[in-house]
Amino acid sequence: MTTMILLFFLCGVALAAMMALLRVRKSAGKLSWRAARTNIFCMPKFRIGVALLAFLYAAVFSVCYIHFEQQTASAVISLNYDEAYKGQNANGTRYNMSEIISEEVVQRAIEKGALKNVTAKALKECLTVEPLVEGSAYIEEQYHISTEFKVTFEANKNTAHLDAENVVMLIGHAYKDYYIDTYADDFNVLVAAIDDQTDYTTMDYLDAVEALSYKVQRVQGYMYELANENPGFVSTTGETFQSLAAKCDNVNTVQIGNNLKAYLLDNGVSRNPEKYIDRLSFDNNRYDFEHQRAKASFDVRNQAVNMYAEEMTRITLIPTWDTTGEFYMGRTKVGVDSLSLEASEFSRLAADYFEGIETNRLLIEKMKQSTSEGSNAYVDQMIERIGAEIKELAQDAMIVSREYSEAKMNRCISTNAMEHSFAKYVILCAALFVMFYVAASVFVQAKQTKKG
Amino acid sequence: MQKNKKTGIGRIIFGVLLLGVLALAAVFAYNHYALNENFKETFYQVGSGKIVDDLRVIQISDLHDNEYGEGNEKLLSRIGELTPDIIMLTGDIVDRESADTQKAVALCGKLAEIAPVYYVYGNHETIRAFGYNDMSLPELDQLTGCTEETRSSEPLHAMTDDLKTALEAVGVNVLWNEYETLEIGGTQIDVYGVLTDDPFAFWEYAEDTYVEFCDENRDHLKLMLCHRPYIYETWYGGAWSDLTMAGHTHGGQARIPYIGGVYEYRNGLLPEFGGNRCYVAGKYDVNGSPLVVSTGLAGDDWFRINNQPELVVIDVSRY
Repeated sequence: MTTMILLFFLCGVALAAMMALLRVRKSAGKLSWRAARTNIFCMPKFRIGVALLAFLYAAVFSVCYIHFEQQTASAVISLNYDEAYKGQNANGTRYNMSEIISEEVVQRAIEKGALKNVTAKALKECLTVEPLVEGSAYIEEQYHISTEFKVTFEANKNTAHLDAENVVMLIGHAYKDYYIDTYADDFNVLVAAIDDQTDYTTMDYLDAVEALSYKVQRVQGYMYELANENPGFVSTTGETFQSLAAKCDNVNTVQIGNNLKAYLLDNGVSRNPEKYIDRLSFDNNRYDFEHQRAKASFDVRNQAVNMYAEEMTRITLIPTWDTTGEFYMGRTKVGVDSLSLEASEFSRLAADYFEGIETNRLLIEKMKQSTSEGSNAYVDQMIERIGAEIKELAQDAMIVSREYSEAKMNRCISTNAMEHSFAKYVILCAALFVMFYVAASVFVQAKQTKKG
Repeated sequence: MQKNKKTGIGRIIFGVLLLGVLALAAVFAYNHYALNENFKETFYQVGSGKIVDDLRVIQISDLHDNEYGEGNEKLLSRIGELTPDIIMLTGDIVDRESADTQKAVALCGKLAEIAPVYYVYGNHETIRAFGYNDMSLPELDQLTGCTEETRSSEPLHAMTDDLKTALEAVGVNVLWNEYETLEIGGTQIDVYGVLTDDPFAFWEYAEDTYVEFCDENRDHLKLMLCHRPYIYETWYGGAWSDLTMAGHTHGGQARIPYIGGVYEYRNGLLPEFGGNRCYVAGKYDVNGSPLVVSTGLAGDDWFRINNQPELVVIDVSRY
């Protein structure tokens, strides 16, 4: 819009200049360069009236220019995390700059700034985003992954009442919040473990064991995930991701496996033994079928290996190059490898099913012998203690994860407003003043020359 | 010929002066009618790992009994819309020339209905209360009767003032070199208010409570309010708090693009220009912690050019 204003006022100057030239032509009889030059360079005195007129012209330009410039503002959003230099988000996914002015971010900005009489859609229409430095996709030397983006707000009639600078700053702040929510803070696993309201009294004891084990394994998995990302991170409490994962493992193996589960199996403890025995018997039928199937599959593969062993053990060598360009002979996989692998896999499966059947059989025996039925105070207490311990672990994990996230994402995104160029405004104003003054002076001079 | 030349130069000078006067008149008119009659909002964002939930702080400074709408209706309604968690008043809310403090007390009472309000005195309040503008060391010694050996914040806490009593009656927390703790959304917050903001007087009359504020409950979010920002310009010992808010400077009265404020009471002409790095307006990093200096809400009674009165909104988030 400011460009339009400038063009409009330049047209005014051009009109004044044309009128002056026409006047020169009239006074000199014809329009020649000599006549124009004489009138331009022979202005004998400073004309206050003309200067005032030029000033007025420049002042009107200033008012229009400033008014429309205030309806435009830009801010630079800088990404300050490691992955930004690879064009990625903090979680390794591809970075997308259009999210800066996405409707969700714009809506957040409206809420943050309590902006009135504007919708996210209307505001979005006034926003543009572009990389601050644009490289070229065609010339290798000019490849550039931008980590700085310029957001510009240019008001229209629906958004003219908004403070432009505030809008771009609010967009920057809202984008930071959105970014952290979307790409940094993802503690859902831990939140679920902390807020867990599972009622273990409604489950049979062995089911509770499964549920507890699953819960602690999820926390452990999350810790391993973060440990892979940054193995060296140590929190202010002295904990590391590995130490917390080891604590989870300890709870799962010792507390749940060795203490709770072993106690249940040894003593055949169940809330409802009859019902549980039925379930185990059904499981055993299923396991038996799966066991037989795995065994048959194993036998088939084993036979195949025996039949074709001699033919298949021959090695085929293929000439190839490694990643450094070195030549070597690559060994292909031959059929027997595949059959052997499958055979061992089915063998393992068969063994697992058999183990399951034997465990269930033992449990059924124990339950039949046991007189325990209904609640067992000792086991309930143990489950409650383990549940609390898992919650505590999840809370510790949350503290460390948050600390890690803060360390990683600290000042991950910063927003700085770009000031309007004052020098540009002064130069434009001065240039318009001078041009208008010269044109008007020539006009007056030519008029006086004619009179003279 | 000589006369003609002189006349020509005279006309040029006259013309330039006339243009200058016109330009100034235009700028004044624009500021008076378009800018200073209304306030703008300035949004800042600061990060602190100590908070549980995002926190919004609104800072009001240097109102000088100015009103935006009848009974500051416009100001109050906008603050309500911005839903602050805590409101900080960093001094000079009343003006030394005003007949009474009713306007300020009424405003504070309404603010207290929106969110917890904390108030520190500025030089205009101290003139009204104690008769001193600077609260310098000799003035404070005279006021409290302390000597070099006995200076501490205790004598200040024992003093009373009508304005303080009236503010506390409407639910405002007035802090005189002391701190209070509050909890907002699970975040424990310590707010320290400075009364003796002269760089020499501060350490003599506030050190005991300020050190306690810093050292106790380090997991609490530490907010510091101080009317004049001078103590931050003279101390390089470390971070003051997690967020510090000040005012007093009025942004240097007139602001020139690229150059900053034109005049500031203590630091003189062009306090932000060239080698001068004074805290006049905006957000600064002071030894690693943020300091926000508000240009204030004083309107057109105070000479302001290109320096619209501002309401400061600070969002504290975890990052």
